[in-house]
Amino acid sequence: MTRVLIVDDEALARERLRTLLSSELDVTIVGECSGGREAVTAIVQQRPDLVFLDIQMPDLDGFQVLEAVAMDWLPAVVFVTAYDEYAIQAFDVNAMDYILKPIEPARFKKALGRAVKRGPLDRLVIRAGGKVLFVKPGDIDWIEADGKLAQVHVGRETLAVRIPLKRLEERLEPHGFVRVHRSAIVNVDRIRELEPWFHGEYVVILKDGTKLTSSAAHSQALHRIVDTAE
Amino acid sequence: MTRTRRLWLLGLAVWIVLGLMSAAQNATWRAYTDRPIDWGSILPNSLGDWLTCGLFTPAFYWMVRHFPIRGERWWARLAVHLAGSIAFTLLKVSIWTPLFNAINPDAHRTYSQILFAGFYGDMLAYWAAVGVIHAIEYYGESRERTLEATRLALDNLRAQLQPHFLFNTLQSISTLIHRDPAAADRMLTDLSELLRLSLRSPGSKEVPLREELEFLERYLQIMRVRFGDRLVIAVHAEPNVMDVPVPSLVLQPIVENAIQHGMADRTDRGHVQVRAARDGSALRLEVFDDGPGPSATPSSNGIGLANTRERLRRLYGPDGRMDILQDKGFTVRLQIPLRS
Repeated sequence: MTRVLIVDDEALARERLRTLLSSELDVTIVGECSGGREAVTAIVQQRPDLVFLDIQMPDLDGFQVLEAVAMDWLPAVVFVTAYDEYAIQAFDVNAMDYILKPIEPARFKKALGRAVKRGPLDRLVIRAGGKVLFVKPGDIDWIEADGKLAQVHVGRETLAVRIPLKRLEERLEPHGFVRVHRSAIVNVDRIRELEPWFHGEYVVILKDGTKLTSSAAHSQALHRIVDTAE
Repeated sequence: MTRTRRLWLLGLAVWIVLGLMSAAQNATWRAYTDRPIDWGSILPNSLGDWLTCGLFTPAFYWMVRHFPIRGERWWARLAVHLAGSIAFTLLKVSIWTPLFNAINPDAHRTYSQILFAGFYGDMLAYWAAVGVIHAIEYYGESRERTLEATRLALDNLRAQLQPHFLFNTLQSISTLIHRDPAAADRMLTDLSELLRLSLRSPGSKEVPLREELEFLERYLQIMRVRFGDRLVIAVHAEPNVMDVPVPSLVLQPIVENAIQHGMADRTDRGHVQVRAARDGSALRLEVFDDGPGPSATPSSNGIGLANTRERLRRLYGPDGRMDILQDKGFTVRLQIPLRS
């Protein structure tokens, strides 16, 4: 059973989606929201599998909603938009699907099928240069704190996000990230070698040649990695 | 670029056809006067003569571009072309004479012989070419104008009715069709009327306030259906101002802004009020919303309001004004002079 949330600021638009969903057997509607803020709360609390999400809403737009929830729970998303220009420019279409208003039933069915198959998304939502990126945790090399921002290094790109490092650490720990320093977390996969330094500290050398010095306080986690590696 | 190339090929074809026609004319005359028809001589002479004229096609174009025979003082440019046609004839014969003598080795014609034999024919070729080029230019311009008019009408439509508005309304209709066909029908009629009026030619046209409010009412009807209880819109107009001419479609974009403001960033009900009243020797139109004001949504509507202010200034000079008042809400106030 796929648990679906409907988000649109217009009642008739929600009704249309409800009607279309009512003929689907394996779908249950867990809620409807008429605004972005309401949607953030509902997604975090209900953890739906799939959200039909309007892009233009008076309080928060669809992308802001995803940005706000992505650290907790990012469901599969089908954007529902009145005008394509905005949608197509702004996001990576591989991660998200979209349908246009007025909704064509066949197109709706296709998008629903794809989204159900895809399931909830394990991605970080990062806005960079006018684009909305859906970043796979496994694609991140390392992250450094930079004042109120965190700089996320993904291949050659560095993306700034306004999320505390502590939260990023909690979110990424299950994906094999480890804190090496007060202001850096690293994808263990990207570590080429650890050079022992003084006082149980290490110099962490990444596959791309980046060198980070671990601090004593955070070396324990690295100890464990070295131990399991040996 | 392809259009230019097509034009050049067309030009070449025209000169060849003229040459062939002249050859046919020559042959017919010979047949009529019982002389032998020697195509080997007729064709190169006729084609050569006309293609030599054809060499000047770029010059003809240049002359038409720089001295089009129309508009003010067209007769002065006519004189330029008269001089041009004589210059052309003199030059053309100076090229054609050696060519003619090469094609007809036994003829030994002089420059003046050829000039006087063909003077009016060459002059005529000049004027015909210039006439045809004028026609081509006219055609291109009129097509351009039609396209421009269509573009303007579409821009106007887009300015009045945002694509978002359009598609969201269609979405509402597609919902209502299943549940309440009569309501869907009404909404469709309202939308059609809005589209029809928006597609009317743009410009500074004025309509009686009554008509402007009817148009607005169609728009508001749609917004009420779409937003239900979340939006309360009221229109108050004094009966004595209903016939005052106002710029056509001036209110709807402002009301659209007010609705966006009024509903932004809130989950309770937004209020929008439209008021029309007489104020001394002016009509005062006010659009009020109780939203947090434009600071909450900075980017979207500055341009729309600036356009309105500019339009009023153009139409009414210093008597036409637009003011923005911010006090427990946001009011756009338009001042339009009453004219007897």
